[in-house]
Formats: sequence, C-alpha cells, structure tokens
Amino acid sequence: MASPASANMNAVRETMDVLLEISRLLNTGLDMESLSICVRLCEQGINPEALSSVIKELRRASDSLKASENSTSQG
Amino acid sequence: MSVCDGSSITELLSTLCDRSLTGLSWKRRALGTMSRDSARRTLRKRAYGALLAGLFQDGSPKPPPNALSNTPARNKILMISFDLRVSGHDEEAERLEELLSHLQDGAGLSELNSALELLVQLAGSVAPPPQSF
Repeated sequence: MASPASANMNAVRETMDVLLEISRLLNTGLDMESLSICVRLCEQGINPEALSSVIKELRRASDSLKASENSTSQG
Repeated sequence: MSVCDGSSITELLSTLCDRSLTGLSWKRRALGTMSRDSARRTLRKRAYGALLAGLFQDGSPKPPPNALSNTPARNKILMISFDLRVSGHDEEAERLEELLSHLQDGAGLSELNSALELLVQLAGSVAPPPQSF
C-alpha cells in the first residue's frame, strides 16, 4: 500500500501534468520546468499577476539579448 | 507536502532567469559582447524590477477595480473556453473544461488557484503552435 507521502507526491505530479496541458491550450509559453518553478513561487506567496509580469519582462529581456547577439554576429 | 520544498524565492527567481538565457551563445564573449554573468545580472535586475513594481506605489492613485479582478481563476478559464467555442475551437474548449474538472480543490498544491491565475495572466502570451494538416 502506498504511503501518504508518496500518494500526495502522485497527486502533485498528476496536478502538474493537468496544469501543463491547460498551460499549452492557453498558449502561455511555459514548459514543465518553468511551470514547476512558477508554481513553487506561487506556493511561496508570490502574487500570480506580479509573477506574470516577471515572466513577460524576462522574455523581453531575453529577446533583446538575442537580437543584440544576432546583430553582433552579423557585423 | 507541496512542490515548494527546498528552494527560496531568490533561488527560484535565479533559476527562472537562468532558463531565460537558454539558447544564447557565449562564444563571442571575447569579442566584447555581453558576458553570461553580465546578462544574468541584467535579467535578475529586470525580474526584480517587474516583481517589485507594484509594491511601492502606496501614494499613487489605484486604478478602479474592473469586473474581472474579483472573478475566480477557474471562471476566467471557463470564459476563455467560451471564447474558444465561439471562435470554432470546440475541441480545445472541450479539453480545457475536462482538464479543469480534473483539478479538485487543493489537488496536492496549496496555491492551485494562484497557479491557475498565473496561467490566465499568461494566456495568449506566445503564438499558438502551427497547425498540422
């Protein structure tokens, strides 16, 4: 018989799988690892709206780094 | 037990920043472009800036609450599902509602509603995958 801890771990895993599929249907751009980090941050009390701003800001910053890298490599 | 065992907010945010650097090449560092450490610092600064932006605005007038601000995340997802149906994406809408019904209260996570709210906030933030024929 499964221990309560492993049963709960299975419940968390199943919930994460469902959240990932919802995330894909909604086109959020999160992969499993990023989603897992975000869920952990929510569990630590981070406001989900503030967290979405962080993700969007990181995408913008990463895109501009990639753009500057491309312009450097072409120059 | 929850999924937040073992990592602090700062560690988790750092990991999130590092993941954003995936795909960048560092071969040109010697040629004067930004180093990985410098890029990492830039991303962390912008991440904390975005995270803390709403905290220090006590003196500024707050925007009026809109009708959706108090709507539970599950209901917002059902509204998205309705929009999908209206635009002819019945299969996706069906699947979305089915998945939502699988998520019981808690379901192993203490902040399931926050996680759903995050997904709502990020909905449509990337282009949908190309359709296969």
